[in-house]
Amino acid sequence: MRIILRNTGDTPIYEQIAEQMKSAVFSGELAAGDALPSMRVLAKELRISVITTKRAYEELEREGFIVSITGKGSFVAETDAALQREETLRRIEQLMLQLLPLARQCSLTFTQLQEMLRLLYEEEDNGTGSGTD
Amino acid sequence: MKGLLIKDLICLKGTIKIYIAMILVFMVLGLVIASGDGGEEGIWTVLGMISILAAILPFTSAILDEQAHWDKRALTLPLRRSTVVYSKYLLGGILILGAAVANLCIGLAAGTELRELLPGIWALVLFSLLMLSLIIPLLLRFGAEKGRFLMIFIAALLSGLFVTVGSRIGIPGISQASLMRMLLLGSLAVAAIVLISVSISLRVYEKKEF
Amino acid sequence: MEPVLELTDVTKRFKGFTLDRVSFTLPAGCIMGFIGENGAGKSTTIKLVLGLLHKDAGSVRLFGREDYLTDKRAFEEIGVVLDETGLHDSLTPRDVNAVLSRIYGAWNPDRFFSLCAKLGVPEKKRIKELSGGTKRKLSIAAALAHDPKLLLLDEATSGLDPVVRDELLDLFLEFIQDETHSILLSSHILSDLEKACDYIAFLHQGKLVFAQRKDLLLETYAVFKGGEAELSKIDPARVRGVRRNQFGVEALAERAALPRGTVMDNATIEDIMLFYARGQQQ
Repeated sequence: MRIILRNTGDTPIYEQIAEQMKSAVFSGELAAGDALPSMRVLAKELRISVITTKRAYEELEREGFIVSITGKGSFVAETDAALQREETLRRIEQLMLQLLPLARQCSLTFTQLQEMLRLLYEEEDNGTGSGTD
Repeated sequence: MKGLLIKDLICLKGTIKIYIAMILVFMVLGLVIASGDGGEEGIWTVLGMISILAAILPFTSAILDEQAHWDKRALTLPLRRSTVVYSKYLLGGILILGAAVANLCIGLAAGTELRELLPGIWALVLFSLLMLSLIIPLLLRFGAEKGRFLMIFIAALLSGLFVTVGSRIGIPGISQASLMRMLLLGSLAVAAIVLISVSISLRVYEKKEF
Repeated sequence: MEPVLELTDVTKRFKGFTLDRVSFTLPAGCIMGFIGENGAGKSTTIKLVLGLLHKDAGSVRLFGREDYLTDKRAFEEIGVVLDETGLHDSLTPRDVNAVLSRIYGAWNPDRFFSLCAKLGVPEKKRIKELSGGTKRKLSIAAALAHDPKLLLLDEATSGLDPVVRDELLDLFLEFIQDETHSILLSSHILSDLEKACDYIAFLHQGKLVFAQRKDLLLETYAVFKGGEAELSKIDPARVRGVRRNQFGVEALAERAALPRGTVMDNATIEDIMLFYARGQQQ
C-alpha cells in the first residue's frame, strides 16, 4: 500500500491518509480483514506525528472502514456497496467544489464547464486518452 | 562513585605519567649531584615533591573537568551532588595515600631509616590533606580557572609552612614521644579541618548553578 | 498514563532576563518540540528541569514526582543530550562505556557499542579526534544506552549537517515507537520538528506563547496574503502578526477568520514562530 503525502494544498495530513486508505479499500488493494500498520509505525515511516495517524485511523473507524482492537491493531472492516457509493459520491462533490474557484478565475460559465465535462466523458468512453493539457 | 573515580583516573593518566617522569629525572639529578653527602636531606625534597604533586592532581582534574564541561554533564547523571563532592575528596585521599606508599618505598630504597621515615611521611600526609581541605571548597566555589591563583598561593604557603615545621622536627633533641604527640594532635586537627571542609564543600555545591 | 513532565509556573530570574511562569505538560509517548529564538529561554527551561539551575518559583513534576532531584534516581530514566558532550577530549568511547556503565544501573554495553557502530562512532578513537557530528552521535548513543524513558535533547541537532540530522531523526522516531517513551526536543532548526512532533511549545522572550498539538496548530493558522484593505476586514483579535513589504501584506491569522476567496498559504511552524517574533501587531 502506498501513502503519498503532500504539503501543498488544503487537505490536512490526516485526511490525506484517510482518503488514500479508503481508495485502497475500494480498489481492492486492501481486503476486508487485512491488518493495517500500527499508528506508531505509520507515523515513523511517514515521519509525521503519531497524533496525526491516530486521527486518520479514528476517522476511518468512525466512517466504518476499519476496526481497531486494542492490543491487536487495526483491521479493514467489511464494507458494503451503499457505503462505498456514498463515499465516492462525497469525493466527487469535493472535487467539484475544487473546480468552482478555478472556473470563476477564467470566467467559465456553467454551460462551458458542462461542455468540457461532456467531452471528457466521451473521450473516456471512446477509449481515447486526451494528452495532458 | 566508582564511575567518577574511574573517569578521574583515566583522565589523569597522562598527567600522572608526566609527574612520574619529572620525579625520576629529579631523583636521578639529585642522586648524581648529592651522592653520599646531603643525600639525606635530598630525599626529603623528593618525598615532599611527590606529596605536593599528588595533592595538586585533584586540581588538575578539576581543570580538565571544567574544560570538558563535565560538571554540568555529571549532574544529568543519576548522581547526587553530594556524591560528586565526596568523590573529589576520595580522589584526593587515594592520591595522597598512593604518594605516601611511593614515598615509603623510595625512602626505604634510599636507605632512610623507618624510624625517621614514618613520622615524616605521616607529616606529609597531614599537610597534603590540609592542602586538599583548603583547595576543594575553593575550587567548587570559584571554579578551576579563578581558583588557580588561590591554589598556587595556598600551595606555596603550605610548602613554606612544611619546610619550617619540618626543620623544627629535624632538630635533634625532640624526643620520639613529643614528636608522636605533635603528630597525633596534628592528625586530630587535620581530621577536623577535613570534616569542616567537606561540609563547606557540600553546601557550596548544592547551591551551585550551571 | 500520567504525564512524563509537568511544568507549572516555573520562573527563574537573571539579570536582564526572566523566564516567566512557564507551564506545559508532556504526555507519555509523545514528542514535544520546544521552539523559540536564541535566548528565548529554552535551554534555561531544560536546565531547570535537570536541576542544573535552581528555580525561583513554580514546580516541576517528573514522572509524577516533585522531589525527583533529591535522590536523582529518576535520572536513570532520563537520557540527556546537550550541545556539548560534557566528556573529556582524552576519553574514547570505550572509556565512556567504562565510566557510565558504573553509574547507570541499566547501562547496556552491547546496546551502547552497537549504537556507536550504527552511527559510525569509532570505538577506540579519542573524543578530540572526532568531528562535531560524530561527537554528538556519541552523546546520543550514551543517552540511549541505558534504556531511558525520557529523552531531553537541547539543541541536539544544531551545528550538524542535514544528512546527520536526518539520521538522528530516524533514531528518535525509532525511540518513540515504544509508547512509554517520550521526547522533549528543543531546537531552532524547525524542519526537524515540523514533521515528527506531536506537540509544539513556543517560548518567546522568556514567556510561553503556546504549547499545543502541532496538527491543530497547523490547521488553525494560515498565512494571509493580500493588501491593507483586505487585512482591515479581518478581526484583529484573530491575527497574530503582520509583515508588510513594499508590495503587499502578509499576516498570520486564524483560518476561520479569513473570508472566502482570500489568498492564503498553509502556515509552517517557522511561519508561526517568525510572525509571532517579528510581526507587528496590526
